[in-house]
Amino acid sequence: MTIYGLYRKLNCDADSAMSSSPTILEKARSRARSYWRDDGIPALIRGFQMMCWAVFIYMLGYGPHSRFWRDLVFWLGICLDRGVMLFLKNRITYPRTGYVAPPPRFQATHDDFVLLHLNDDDLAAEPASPGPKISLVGMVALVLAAYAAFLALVSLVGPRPIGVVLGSAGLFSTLYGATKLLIYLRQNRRPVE
Amino acid sequence: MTPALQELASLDRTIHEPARLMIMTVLCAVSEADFLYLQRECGLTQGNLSSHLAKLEDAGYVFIEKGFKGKYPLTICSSTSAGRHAFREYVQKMQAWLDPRQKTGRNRS
Repeated sequence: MTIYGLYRKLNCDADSAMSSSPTILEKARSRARSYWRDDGIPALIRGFQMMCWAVFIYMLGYGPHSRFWRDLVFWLGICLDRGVMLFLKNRITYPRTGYVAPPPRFQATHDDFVLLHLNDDDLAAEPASPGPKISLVGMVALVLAAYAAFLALVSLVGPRPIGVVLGSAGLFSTLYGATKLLIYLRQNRRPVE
Repeated sequence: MTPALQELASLDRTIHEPARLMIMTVLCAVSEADFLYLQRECGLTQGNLSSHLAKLEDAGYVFIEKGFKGKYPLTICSSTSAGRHAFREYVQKMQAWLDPRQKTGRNRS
């Protein structure tokens, strides 16, 4: 390759060969993150989760036992949602449009962020990280704090209005996810075995 | 030719090829991806992607794991630490050659 050819290659637009710059690396990473949401499954599961929780919060007005179920549904949802999403994606998304490692729940555990920071002052100056890095302990503390704040709000406002708002949001999210999933399925047929 | 220009010849040719550069970019951005995802992202044909992946695997830059998911073949690719190191070095060299002032400017700050 001539020097001129190399120069052109280095100066061409962002979508071609210069895709190795940290900015393009970040673009590839954000595409992988948006790929996780593209099929609508996460929105569908989260919406369903919110609706379930809303039902139990709404039912708080009817008996003391529903408190236990409300907490159980919340923590089961937190623990299992990712597994359910992966289960569905394994059967729906990955055979159609391919598999890419799902975005990490906790940024600090993701190995590839080390790539641009390791012994590399120049590249470390680039904005490689997509967001704040939170440790596992920090994340658990954050969830617990949010849950406590939410319970305080429920006791302040009352379970029914909160249940209605949460249920509506869940319904919206479920419908949004279902629509997205239908569009995705129409656009991407299952490959022939 | 000046020694500075001659340094360009030391670029890693395995990564320098545009298709392989695309593959390495995707694999360095995510921890792992399968053949189909890489094909869609890079816009390469099956044969093309396969041959480039084989070259990257021979160079030790990519780890390829072949298997089956039900009746579907599944090829999972991930970048090795040697691959990430080579990629980072490549990016560093390119940046240094393209804009040396940027490098010194950053070092100062």
